[in-house]
Amino acid sequence: MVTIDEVERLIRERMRGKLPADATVGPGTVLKDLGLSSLQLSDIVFSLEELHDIEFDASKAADVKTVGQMVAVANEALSADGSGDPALTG
Amino acid sequence: MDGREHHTFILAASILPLLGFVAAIVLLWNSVVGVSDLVAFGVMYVIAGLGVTAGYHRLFAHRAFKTTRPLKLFFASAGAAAGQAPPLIWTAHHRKHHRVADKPGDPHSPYGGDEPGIRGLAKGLWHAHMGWLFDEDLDADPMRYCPDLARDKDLRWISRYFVAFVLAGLLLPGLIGLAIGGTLASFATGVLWGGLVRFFVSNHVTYAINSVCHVFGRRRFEVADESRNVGWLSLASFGESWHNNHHAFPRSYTHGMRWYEVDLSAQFIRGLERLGLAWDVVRVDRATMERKAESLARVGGGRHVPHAPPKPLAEQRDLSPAGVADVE
Repeated sequence: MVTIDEVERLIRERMRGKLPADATVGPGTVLKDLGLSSLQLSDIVFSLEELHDIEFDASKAADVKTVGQMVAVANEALSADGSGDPALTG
Repeated sequence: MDGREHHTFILAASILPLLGFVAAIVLLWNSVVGVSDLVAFGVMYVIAGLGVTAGYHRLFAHRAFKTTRPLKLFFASAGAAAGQAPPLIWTAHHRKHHRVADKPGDPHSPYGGDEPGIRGLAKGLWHAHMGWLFDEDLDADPMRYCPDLARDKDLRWISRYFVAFVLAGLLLPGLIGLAIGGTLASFATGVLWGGLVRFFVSNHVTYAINSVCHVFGRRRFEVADESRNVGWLSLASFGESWHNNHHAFPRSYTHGMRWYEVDLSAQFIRGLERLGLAWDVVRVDRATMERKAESLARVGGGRHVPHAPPKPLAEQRDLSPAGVADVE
């Protein structure tokens, strides 16, 4: 299961400290509003793919605007995969 | 990089090499140029040139061939060191350009403005050359245009640390200068020639493909854009200036399509293929070219011809195999 916390961790990592520590990241947070570039966004999305060994629907992933949508697309891919989540099990 | 950082980078990447170029001309005028400087320039020009043309452009953006991981890493690092953009951003802009070339949405067409006459032409050329890079709202959207490449961990990593590769591209020629000249001065002039002067010349040659090669030159194929073949740029651009050929057959590994159309990048790819280091090289035979030239000539081309742009890669159904038609 991909969680908001995991996405927030990745965002903070990729933004290298530029996101203020007290900035809140929730399901409704718009990714671009955080100051993420399109490159950082693609880096986060495809890092999630790799961490969980899943494959996103690329067209849905390209339309992701908020943190919540990103989590939803990831979990949809995770459940479609059906083989369990290696990030949790292995 | 956010919008402001991008702007700062582009400003620095435009002005510093220009200043370096002017300084080098002054040194050249005073005969203060050594063998080490010319070697540093030559080696770095070839590395950056192959990175952008054979690597970013033909291997990544158009998937004109396949290669080994070490060579993929070389191409991506060399392309990044050229200083134009991270691989995922460069390829996204480029695929978008092919999709709607010289029509609304093209990031770097010389035909975007509505001003008529020579002033409009000059403005268009400037925009296509490098003006477009200064647009703070410029958005490459790699998610939509190159999910195939963003899935590659190596390309993501090199894109993330792009600036470090650019700096390495300035440092390396200094080390070449030091190795040959043996003095700190030869290190400094190595950075100047192989770093800044190379940055200036190499990138303006690339920019000229977007400006000059969409305005001046000959058209063999009446494609639905304004791309042109420009012979005098072919050597310096490693074959990229056979740009009309390229727009007619984007996936072809070679842009030069006659024996006299010099294309160093294609020769390099052929060399790799002979060594077994490149395979699945996309070739177009002469009969196919001629058929296409004839049928395009019948309907006529240019940017005003009705044209249905293909869907961006992310919106196409089957992403996994690289079919002939799936990448612009």
